Amino acid sequence: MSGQRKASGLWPVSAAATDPYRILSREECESILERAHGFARGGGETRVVVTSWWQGELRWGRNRVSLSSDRRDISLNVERRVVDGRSIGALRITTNQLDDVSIEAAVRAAERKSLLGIDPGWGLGDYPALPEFPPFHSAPVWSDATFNLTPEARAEVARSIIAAVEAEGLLSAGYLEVRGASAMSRGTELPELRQGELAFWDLPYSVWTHAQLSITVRDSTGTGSGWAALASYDWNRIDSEALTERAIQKCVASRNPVALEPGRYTVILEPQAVADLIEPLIRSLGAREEAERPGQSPWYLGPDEHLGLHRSKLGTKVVDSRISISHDPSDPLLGIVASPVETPGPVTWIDRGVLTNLGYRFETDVKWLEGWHTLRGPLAYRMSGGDTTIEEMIASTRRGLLVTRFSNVRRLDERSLLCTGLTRDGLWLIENGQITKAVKNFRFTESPLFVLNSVDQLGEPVPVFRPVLHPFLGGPAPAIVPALKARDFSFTSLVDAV
Amino acid sequence: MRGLGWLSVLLSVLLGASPVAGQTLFTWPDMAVDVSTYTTVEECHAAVLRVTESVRRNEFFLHRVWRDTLPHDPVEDVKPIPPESQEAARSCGARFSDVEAQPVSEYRMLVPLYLAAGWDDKARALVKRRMDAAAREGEAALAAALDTVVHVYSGRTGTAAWGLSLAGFPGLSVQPPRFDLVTEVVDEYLPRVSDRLRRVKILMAQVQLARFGALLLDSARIEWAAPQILTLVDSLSETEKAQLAEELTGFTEDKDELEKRLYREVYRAVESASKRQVLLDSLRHSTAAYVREYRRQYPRAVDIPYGQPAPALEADVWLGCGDECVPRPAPGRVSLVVFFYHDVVRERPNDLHQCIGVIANASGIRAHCPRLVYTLRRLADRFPELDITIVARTHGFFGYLKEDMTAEKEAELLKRWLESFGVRAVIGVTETDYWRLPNHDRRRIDEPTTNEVNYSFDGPAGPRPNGWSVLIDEDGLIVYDTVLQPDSRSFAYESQLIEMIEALLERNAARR
Repeated sequence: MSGQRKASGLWPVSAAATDPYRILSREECESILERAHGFARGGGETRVVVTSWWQGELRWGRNRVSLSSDRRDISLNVERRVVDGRSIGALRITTNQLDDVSIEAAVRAAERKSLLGIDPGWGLGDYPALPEFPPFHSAPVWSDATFNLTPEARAEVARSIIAAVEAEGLLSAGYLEVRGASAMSRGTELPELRQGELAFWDLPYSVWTHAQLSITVRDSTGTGSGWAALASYDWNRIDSEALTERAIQKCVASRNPVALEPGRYTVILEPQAVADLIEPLIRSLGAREEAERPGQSPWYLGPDEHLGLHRSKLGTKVVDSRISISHDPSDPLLGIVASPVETPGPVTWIDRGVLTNLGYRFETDVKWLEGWHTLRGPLAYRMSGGDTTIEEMIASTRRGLLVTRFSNVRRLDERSLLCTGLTRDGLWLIENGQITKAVKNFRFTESPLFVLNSVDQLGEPVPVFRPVLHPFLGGPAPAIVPALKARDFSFTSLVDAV
Repeated sequence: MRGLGWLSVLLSVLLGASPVAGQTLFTWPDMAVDVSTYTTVEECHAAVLRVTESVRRNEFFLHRVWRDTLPHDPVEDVKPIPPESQEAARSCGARFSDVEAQPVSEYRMLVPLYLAAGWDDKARALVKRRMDAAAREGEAALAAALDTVVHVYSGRTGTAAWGLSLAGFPGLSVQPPRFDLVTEVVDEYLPRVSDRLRRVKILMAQVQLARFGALLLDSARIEWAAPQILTLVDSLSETEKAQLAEELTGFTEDKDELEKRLYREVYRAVESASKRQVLLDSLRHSTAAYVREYRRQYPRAVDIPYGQPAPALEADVWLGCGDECVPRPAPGRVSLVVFFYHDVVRERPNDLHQCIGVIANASGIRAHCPRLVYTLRRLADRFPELDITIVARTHGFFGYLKEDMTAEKEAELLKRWLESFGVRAVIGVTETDYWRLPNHDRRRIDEPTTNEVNYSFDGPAGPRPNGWSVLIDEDGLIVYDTVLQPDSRSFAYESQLIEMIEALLERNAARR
């Protein structure tokens, strides 16, 4: 690791991260990378990626713990991408044995495998040297509280939740998970073009933690269901007692639901429901290239025959002007694990209803735009809101539905982002400014774009439950989302499940 | 055992002395095929294919040369299979060597094996048995069998050396194609086929065989088959033509499909056999004669600027020409003007036209526009008297470099990059006028350069295809244009350009 990387302090690591039994420290990663590269025999270019992860889980159902685990593993990937100047596909050998014999065997296996398929290679010529890894400043995503939540402590959390639920004569199921991970990669590709030790696609030493807790409470007759959950890199930010109380309240209030006719209703979506609904929209913001050619992107506008190119909806109003979606990686609630050559600063995706940014690749920025960065789609995001409380939204509603959350949200049409999914864990009818009864669940068929264009009122944005995307190595992907009230939300059929 | 004790001591000393000796050295595994365990003709096909593949791989380890890194050489397609493959075919095919004992129904798999083993007589005997049996079944069966045999002898069935399965038949393809055997079987059996559609298809296979990829192998065969094809097609009713089009191309509703197919496969073959030479002869005489002949041969090609004066090139930065950069194209010299763009981002891994681009990750980084650059280098090496001008324009970046980029810097980087591939040419770089789309789009929109406008002739002004090249005679008249690339299996791009350059240089030398 270069002195510059150490001095920059971009990847804060607490002392706990050096625990050799759970995740690899910076020094250990560097040592493994150096040993692996030392075994490479030349004649090719080798990339080594070392990752380590730890995961502690506790799962329970019907008020009884069914799983408590504490797992960890290390993964060493050895890849050969270029042999004698000729490109090959990413041929990868993976091992979790870190003794010299095993590492050498992995390197040899990668060398052997890489010779089996080689594409023509023609050299690079006198190509300008490549840039060094640009600094990326993100809020910390490491928490000692998360890393130190032992199996005993996790069991104690579950015990207190179950006790509170049992005291109400109810049943609970839940999942508590804590993770930690570290990763680092280094390759020998293009030694003639490197300005520094790290190429910009190398991953410097990175560490992160993540915690999530979700609680479902049911009544013994199976007619009521409540749910509450939260995820954060920091366990201290998850209040298990408050979540338990909320899940119990929702369960009790959702008992004995009545069936309503499907149709268009005014809805009050709690923050979690908003996050569930707009997830497809958030994901679609990541591909500017798709939006600038005919296809299925919701952000493709059409051809500009005068200029002979295709236009996206960038610069046009796409949702209600009270809505902005942005991400500031230095926001303590929105820290993420950076990827190489990433745009280092804050990004506003939708600014007061106007689409202002779409994610793009490095090549796009160099060729078409004004910089030389990658802009990933919004991994973490904050959606702007208003100051209306949910109680005020209810009070101002003559007839409508209050939605706790959605599940199984799937896209039906890419261009319009029309989605379908189910309401879950609490749906209530509002009549004349008051919640009057619990309602059976619905299937909805609606587009988040339509909903965000039919907004009446917005609440205060709050952190919502957004689990990691990768089973072991995914870093935090936090979201801060408001509740909202929208008109004419389309429910298309009844669902019996609670 | 005691006698071998010294051996273990020696080994331990040797291994201890050299850490490398303790490692497992990689060697290419023994790919020899034990054909003694193979019992079916299909397994023999597989054995021969595997040996051929092994030989090609070993070629890399011995000579460090992959065929696919070289420009496609059509001669490769008509070379015999390696001796090792022939030996595998012989040893595996020994159990099938008694041709009279083999069922005639197996002929399609046995014939390629016999030919791979060099047993042409056995192949000929088996084919004769099959054809005679088909003749007894009737004319339709005879025509079908003849069609298949012609395809097999022509090397158009089976798995070719480049790994493609041809015509839906698995197994070996016949390599090299057996012209003599095709002639023999066609001469004997084609007169017995009265079905005109069948006759057309079999004759078209003859033309295909005579024009193997970009190679013209047998102009006499084209001269024999092409007139027969055209006469037969002229004699067909509209219904029969539609049926023929369908049989040749699969289902089609395009009424011109047959004509297009004939153009691609027959007219072009005739042209390559005769018209091409006439065209080159006329060019050796004069550009005016060449243009006349070209317009006679291609009356529909009205927008082609051949014979027009080449517009003078402009540039803000000239490199590689000292004090004699303008006028250009240089009067009195045969010139090649190449439009080159170094902003083409390589998005598809196998698109080898795209150049330089931006290295965005660590994979696929070494394959950058070899077709264009290496073709240019071959031309420059082969014709030192050819005046090559690379016409470029600024893009605001080179590779990933963007900061403080000037036209001079971009031109210098381009020159260094091309020279590192051995390309030495005059480079003229024009500073591009551009603007950015407003609002949040921010894309850079380049205006056409003067050179692009001047060289667009009556077409739309804008970027030319990358590598688009214009050949200009010593009087500054445009003679030919093409996108610079090596010969492919379907068209002799580089070879035709070379023929034209040679004709012009010969003419220019004779004038002096």
